[in-house]
Amino acid sequence: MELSAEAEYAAFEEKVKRTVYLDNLSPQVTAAVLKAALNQFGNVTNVQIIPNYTGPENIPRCALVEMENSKQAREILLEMGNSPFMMSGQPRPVRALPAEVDMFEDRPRKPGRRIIFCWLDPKDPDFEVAKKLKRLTRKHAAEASFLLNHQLEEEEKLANQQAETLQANYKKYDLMESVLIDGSAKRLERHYNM
Amino acid sequence: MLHLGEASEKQNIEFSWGSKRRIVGPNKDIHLYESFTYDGVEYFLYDSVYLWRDNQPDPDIGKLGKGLSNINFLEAICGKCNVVCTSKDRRNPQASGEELRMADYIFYRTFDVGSCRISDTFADMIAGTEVVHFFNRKNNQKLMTCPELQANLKEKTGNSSSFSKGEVTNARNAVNNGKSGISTNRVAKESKIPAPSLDIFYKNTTLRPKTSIDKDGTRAARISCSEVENREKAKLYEELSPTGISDNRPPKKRKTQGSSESSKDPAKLLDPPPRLPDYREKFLDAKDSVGNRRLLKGVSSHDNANNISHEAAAQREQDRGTKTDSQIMEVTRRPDVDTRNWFKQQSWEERMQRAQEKGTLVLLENLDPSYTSSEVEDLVWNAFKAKVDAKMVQHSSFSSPHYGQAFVIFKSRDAAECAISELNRKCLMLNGRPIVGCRGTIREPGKPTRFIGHLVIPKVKFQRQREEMRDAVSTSHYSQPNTIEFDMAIEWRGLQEKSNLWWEALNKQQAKEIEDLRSRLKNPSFK
Repeated sequence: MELSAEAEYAAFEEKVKRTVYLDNLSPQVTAAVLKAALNQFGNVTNVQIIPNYTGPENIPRCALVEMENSKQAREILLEMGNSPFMMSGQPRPVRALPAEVDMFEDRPRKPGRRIIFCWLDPKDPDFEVAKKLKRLTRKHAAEASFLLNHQLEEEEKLANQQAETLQANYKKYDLMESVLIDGSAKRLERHYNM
Repeated sequence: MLHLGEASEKQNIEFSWGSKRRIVGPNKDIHLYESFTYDGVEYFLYDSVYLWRDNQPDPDIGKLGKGLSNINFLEAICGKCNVVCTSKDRRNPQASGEELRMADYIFYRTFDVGSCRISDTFADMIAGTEVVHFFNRKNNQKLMTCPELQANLKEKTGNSSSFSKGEVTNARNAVNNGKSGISTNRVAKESKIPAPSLDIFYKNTTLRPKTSIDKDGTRAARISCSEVENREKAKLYEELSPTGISDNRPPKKRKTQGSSESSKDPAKLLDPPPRLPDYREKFLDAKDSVGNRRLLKGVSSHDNANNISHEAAAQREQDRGTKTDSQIMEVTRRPDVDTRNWFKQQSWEERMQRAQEKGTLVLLENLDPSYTSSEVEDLVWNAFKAKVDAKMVQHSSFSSPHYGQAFVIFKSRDAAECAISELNRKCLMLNGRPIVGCRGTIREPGKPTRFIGHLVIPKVKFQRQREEMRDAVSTSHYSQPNTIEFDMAIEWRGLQEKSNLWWEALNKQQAKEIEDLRSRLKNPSFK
């Protein structure tokens, strides 16, 4: 029994190595899209979109993509690190990171681990510190949420700025196109004897 | 101080046939068995069992039947259920007080699905099965009091029961494959077994807890039993109406209840777990919810049964008083390790949603991020004596590396609120981490359509470009270095790098703050 737990954990660790964590994904990216996109790097064996139960809803999606072997996983990490990879939209690229144990919902118990717990009542000498640690948990969560919001704002700013740039560009193209279409370009050509 | 054990979970569900019956009849290819053992519990024909059905949070109650194939899969069985009939019918061996006390459910009437009528009389045949099989077994009395008579009983039930079957190995394989998913679990279908099929005889057997709840949480439930005419597939469906705080102990609890204790000892097997706080007595009351009509309320002739049940409840309270605490402290793993994950057919998200509505969802914070869901379940079992389902929140690049979170679904709102207030009042320390608990809320799974960072040109006039855009959305590609897209992508990468630095700084600072505070803890085991 003990042995099999270890074997199971070892198998799981192998799975972690075969898996790539992807984020900055649009909500349009489904498991099927991911599979199709990443099959060019090898064989996708499993895709899981990590559910976001607690965070704000406008944070990008993240997913775990399990490949056939760890070589294919490394390949993806390398390739996506080198060139920006677009999925279901642009220009914000997808980010690929190595998967980590904590990301898996179905991770097995680490063999041999013992968890020790105890209840502290208000008379315990450590109670006050423990209470402070609880408050610290809340404070840190608030800090993280603040930073996340800040990041989202920055991202929105960049997106808006890029949208403007893009629009300006298209306006330019639009102008040129209309000049060509309504014959002004030809007239100018004749006018300048070109 | 307690240790949570780390025993590995059993993955394979055992299935084996019991002793073979003498082969009668011309066809030697058909084997008849007296029983089968499934996941550590031995089942006989006409045993009452809990059955799990799709999309039902609570199990049904059914009987193992004969010759009714392919209606339910073997995996639907989640454990034995002790159903006692309190009908005064002379064909029914009357149940003793002890038996009533042991009963999970009691019934005394039938409901005819055809005519929608509740009746106190039992027809000779119900759904193609002799009525005697619905009544108490003749040797029940002995069964309850003298476990050593088990062997005896086996023979007796064996004579009246038989399971026939084509290929044993086939079925066995199917069962072993079972853990990979429901679709492969169709034992009965795959191996074309004619007989060891399970039929739901009682359907919708969620019990309606009576409104009166005594201080100990012992609740009374009303059941009504019903009878069906012999219909095709011979399903007898009994409507036991569902409402209120879910009363049924969940299937896995059931199952392990059975499997954790020796199946050789029927008295033990049927004994409800002594330390479940939310466990309650069910007794019969005249009330039915078929067609959402209340037909009767309180039938005098059955006051007797009620009284017995009350006595039993009282007695059980006493039992609990003596049994509880010391036992719990010795437990390191919950008594049932959930080996039947595929029963959770309702998705976790749906269950959380429901739990949130019912107020049974709790979010635990400040857990070690490396804990697994089952470790959290064990922890809650040890710390709160509550059996729960828990899931660690999956980590992503947005989660803090210092703090793990888990959603826990308690069985009742009271249990959830009690746990939260305990966590607030005292400190549950786990390796120097005090656990923080609050009501769990999950976001409505609305579909955000917009994604910051993906741009759409509002009016693209160029036909050619529009096509390109459409393709780009539906596929994936690398940016080419000489495009505006590439330049913008690099801007995104720059921003990402920048945010990474912010997060790094924050995490580092937080780690230091945690460390500083933790070093002030005096108890050496917290470090």
